[in-house]
Amino acid sequence: MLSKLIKEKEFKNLGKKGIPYAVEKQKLVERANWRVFKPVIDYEKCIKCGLCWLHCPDAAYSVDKKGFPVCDGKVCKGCLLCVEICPVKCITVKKERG
Amino acid sequence: MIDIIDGNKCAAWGARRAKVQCVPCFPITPTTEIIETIAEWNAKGEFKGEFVVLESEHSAASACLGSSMTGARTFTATSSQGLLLMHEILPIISGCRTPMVMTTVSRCISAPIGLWPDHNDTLAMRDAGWIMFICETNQEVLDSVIMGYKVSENPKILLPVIVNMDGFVHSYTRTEVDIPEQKLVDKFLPHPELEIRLDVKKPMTLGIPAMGLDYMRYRQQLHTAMLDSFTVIDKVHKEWAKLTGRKYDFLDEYKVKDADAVIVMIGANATIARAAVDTMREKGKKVGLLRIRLFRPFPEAQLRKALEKVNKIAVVDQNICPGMGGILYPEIKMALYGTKKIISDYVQGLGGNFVSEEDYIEILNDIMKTKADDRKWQM
Repeated sequence: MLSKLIKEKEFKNLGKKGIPYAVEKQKLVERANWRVFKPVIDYEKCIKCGLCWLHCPDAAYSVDKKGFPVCDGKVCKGCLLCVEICPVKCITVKKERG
Repeated sequence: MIDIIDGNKCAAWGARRAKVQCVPCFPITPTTEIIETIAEWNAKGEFKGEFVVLESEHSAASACLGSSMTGARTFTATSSQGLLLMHEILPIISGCRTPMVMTTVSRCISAPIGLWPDHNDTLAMRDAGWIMFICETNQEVLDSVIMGYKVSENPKILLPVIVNMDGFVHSYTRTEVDIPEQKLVDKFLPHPELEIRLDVKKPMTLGIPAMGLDYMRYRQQLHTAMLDSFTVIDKVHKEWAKLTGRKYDFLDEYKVKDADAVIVMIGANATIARAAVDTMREKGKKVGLLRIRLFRPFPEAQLRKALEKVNKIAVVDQNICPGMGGILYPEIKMALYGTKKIISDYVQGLGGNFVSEEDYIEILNDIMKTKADDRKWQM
């Protein structure tokens, strides 16, 4: 990256833009490049209990119209908490890199 | 309403008059009376806010963060080790740009264990991104708590405020204090309407992760808000002076204009130094006192202007950064860099060691004789 020197005097107060907040999920940091392992759901075994959706620390899971959990590949950082929490062990681990 | 109350009561009255909605706290000497007083009012029904006692200062600060994130006016108080335990949360509160006021009652830090005041605890919070007022009198503590909310909740600033007083010297010493009427404070300080806050009806994440350049931009915004707060604080000072007649400024100048030698210091001992200045003036010696009231953001330009014609400056530090010296000293030197003034450091009163008028006279006599910058301890 080419460095840029900015004078402190030229800084502007951007008001509420200086507050680190996010309203929409899309604005969350994409963590896909942090991931080594990815959770893959076997929908034939899934009992729609929703525990993976509830426990995901990054809210990567959403629930589709039929009630099945769907993992957002952009948000999931691959912590695999869902794999541990699943009562019927329908979530398997797929290695993506490394 | 004129009353004779101590510094702790002043802070509690400040919170009560500001109609604080949530007080998460954990008591510690010499702050305990603030919390006791609010607890008593709460039990009697005179104080209508939420009063929460937690299991540690770390939890109390975390609860402050949560409560101020929802837009509730929040107050807490702590000292010494308690403040150090809170330290982890303080940059989060300022980083999330949530307004609140905390009274810190200065007490020396362990070990060895001491109960008496010096400024090492509060000055350790220098870089936490909080606006810091360091007070000299009980009245100033009360006024600063109320003014603190006005500065803190300004939509362009949104930064938390520390109002510091000295343990025992303020906190358990009764003086005559004018407690402003509720109507006056209500007029001065309307309830805050924060645009960005946690609300179940409008879910959002506050304190999101920000990597790389994004992080730097948030820090830049925090710094800019800090610098912008000068004008806001000035306005608030003027507004308060109009309502109550009590004038405050970033710096408290006492006989500085025609002085040859000036003491620069912070905290309650300034009252004793003031007496020393008067005694020296009676003997015809041109000396003065400059007390820094607003420590963060640091009023560098104002300090430069105030000390423009003064040649000899004695920085009195009631604190010590081991391996470097007094904490105030490098800041004053930085502000006066390139001016060819003689600036010496005097470390004194650590752990509340008693300092008398004669001690300040000794410092003033010493600085008038000194021909080069020096660092000394007054034992």
